[in-house]
Amino acid sequence: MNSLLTGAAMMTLLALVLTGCASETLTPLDVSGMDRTKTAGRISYTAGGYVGWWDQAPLPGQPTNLVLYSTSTNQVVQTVGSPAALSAKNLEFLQSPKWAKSVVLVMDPSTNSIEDSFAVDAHGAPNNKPTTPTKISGYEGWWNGTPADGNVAGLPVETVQINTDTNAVIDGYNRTTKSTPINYTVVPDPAWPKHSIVIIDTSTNKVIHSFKIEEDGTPLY
Amino acid sequence: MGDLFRTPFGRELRWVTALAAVAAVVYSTVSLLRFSRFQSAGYDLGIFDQVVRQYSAFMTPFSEIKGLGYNIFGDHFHPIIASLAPLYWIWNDPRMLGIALALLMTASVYPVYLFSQARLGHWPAFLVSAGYIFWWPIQGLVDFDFHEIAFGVPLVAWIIYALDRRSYIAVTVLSVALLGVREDMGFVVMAIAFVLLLRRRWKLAITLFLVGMAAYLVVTGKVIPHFNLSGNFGYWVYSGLGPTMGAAIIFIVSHPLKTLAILFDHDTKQLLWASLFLPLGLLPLGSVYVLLAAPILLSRLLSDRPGTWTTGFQYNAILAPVLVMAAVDMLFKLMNRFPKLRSVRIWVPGFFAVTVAAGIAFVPAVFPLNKLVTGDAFHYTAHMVAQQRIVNMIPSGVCVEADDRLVPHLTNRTVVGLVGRQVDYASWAVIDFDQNNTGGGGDGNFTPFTGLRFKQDHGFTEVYREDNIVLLYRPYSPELGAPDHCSTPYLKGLYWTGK
Repeated sequence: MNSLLTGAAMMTLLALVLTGCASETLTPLDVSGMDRTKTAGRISYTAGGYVGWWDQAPLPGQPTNLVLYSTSTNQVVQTVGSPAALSAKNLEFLQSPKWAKSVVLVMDPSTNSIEDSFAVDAHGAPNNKPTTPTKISGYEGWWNGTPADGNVAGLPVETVQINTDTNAVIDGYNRTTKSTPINYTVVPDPAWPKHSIVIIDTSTNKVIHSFKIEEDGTPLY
Repeated sequence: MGDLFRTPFGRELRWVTALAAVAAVVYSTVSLLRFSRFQSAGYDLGIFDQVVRQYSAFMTPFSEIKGLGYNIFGDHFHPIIASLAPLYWIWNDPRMLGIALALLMTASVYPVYLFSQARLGHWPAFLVSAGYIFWWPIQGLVDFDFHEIAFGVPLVAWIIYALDRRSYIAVTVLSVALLGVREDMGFVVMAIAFVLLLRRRWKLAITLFLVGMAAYLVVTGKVIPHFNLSGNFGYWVYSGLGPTMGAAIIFIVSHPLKTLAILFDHDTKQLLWASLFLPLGLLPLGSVYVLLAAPILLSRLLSDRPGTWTTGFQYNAILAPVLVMAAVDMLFKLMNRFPKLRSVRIWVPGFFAVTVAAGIAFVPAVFPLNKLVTGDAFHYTAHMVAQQRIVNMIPSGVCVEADDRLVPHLTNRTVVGLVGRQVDYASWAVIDFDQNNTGGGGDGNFTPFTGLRFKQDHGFTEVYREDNIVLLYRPYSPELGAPDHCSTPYLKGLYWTGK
């Protein structure tokens, strides 16, 4: 028993010694005042082209032969290093409908992989919008909502929402049945505003509301 | 066994205690050096460190490395590691687990010695014990930093010794304790029941068999799925046998030859068989005690996971006492059957010890102690210095996503997980471009470059770079509740000021 106690005491002593040895001095980095970095903050646009991580000293494993490809113009807008010519496989990937319009894709053609992507505005400057199309499956508004007082008098019973660029019904609602899939045959009207959503009262087939949307479906109010 | 506890430093055990002490110091040194040289990893040292720390604070065993709010009982069932919690009251550090592991290994050398000494005499038993404690399966476990199976090694060794001494109360108590090591120990307990069955200890055999089977079924069918985020037990990976244990049993019974073929159908499996049995001259195959190794070997070699077929990692340690003691048992039988062979009691243990020594000297891939002998384990590179410097730059009490090798250095003062595991919450991230990936074994899904892109897409900015290690930072998102998520109750008590 004494031997066990001695052993335990020695272990405790060892642990204390180890504790002393283990007191590494912390030197926390001062990051006060820093904000979250957004796309437009890490990639800049100058007359010479886009400036980003590909201009810094490469880290191990970082691809160095790249093309920057615009989905607006479907053209290479910049090259980094000595990238191989784009193959049919590369182009198929770059021109995939998975990318939003007005996006610059940074591709390593040798591996056919997208290393980075960022949305740009009409002048080519990077912005913080998403690089893949936002799938919006419907919009809410007075036409399909219920007022706080519950009084729906004068509001349409059944409406459908149509994207005027595709002439497709993207959503609908019937207050009585509370059903959303509405069977409606679209008759395109040239008077409908472009790049918009029109709300149609199916009892009259009249447009009761419309609003502009961005290419990714985001409403422009 | 009572005799042993009274006389660990007595005449009979003096030499083996000295051997145990040397092994404890050597293995503790290996663990401490692995840690300080950034060789240890979040998988699994960091995971167990987080869990034991939670236990030490009487809290639910969460591991942020497995995922925020991930209860470790959803992964494996190993309540026995809660017994390590008091060690953290002495030293709240992952290195304590390395020392505990070294002590657990040395605790297994006593039953191996006593079992051998009764058959071969003192010095042959000492050679067997020395060969055993430094055999490659034990080294492999130490080189893995820490694993729950470390508890199984001494428990299985003591169970065989108790079986040998016909001490059935001890067998029963130790078998129940074994069930707390890991869910699949239920199969080992069933194997122990088979040994008892052969001795016609009917009641105990049937009881232990039923307890072992019930433990496995309840733990994998109810307990683990209850805590698992997907609601299931994630380690049934036997596509060759069937989707359930029932289907597997039917396959094994109806296709014994096909099952046997699966056990040898890959180079890695054949190498494992050879590495386990050839150094022991195939002797274990003649002992009843080898039955205890059967469920462990079968569960690994019939599995779809190639990692479990290898001589690496922690998987083989629990086999070491079983095979060594079974070999000694068979050697003793041979000596009795063929009295002219009595000299083998010296040269067989000697041969075993020499092969282990030769392995340490010349086979570094299987005997990690080679690095200690050659001095490689004491070599510090500029990269290791940079790793330490960057770890020190991360403040305490924050949420971090880090390279797997840095994770254990942050577990005792931050909420740390692997890159990509705390997307909404982490405010610091470290990516090491000298590694092939950001870590996490089969779960790792980032190269350093894609990991960096991922973090920058989520608002992180590079704030420091040294020797291809990149430190990134972004402020918390209070709207996502990050400050709360990034301060576990344990860390709140230590660091959280409420600001």
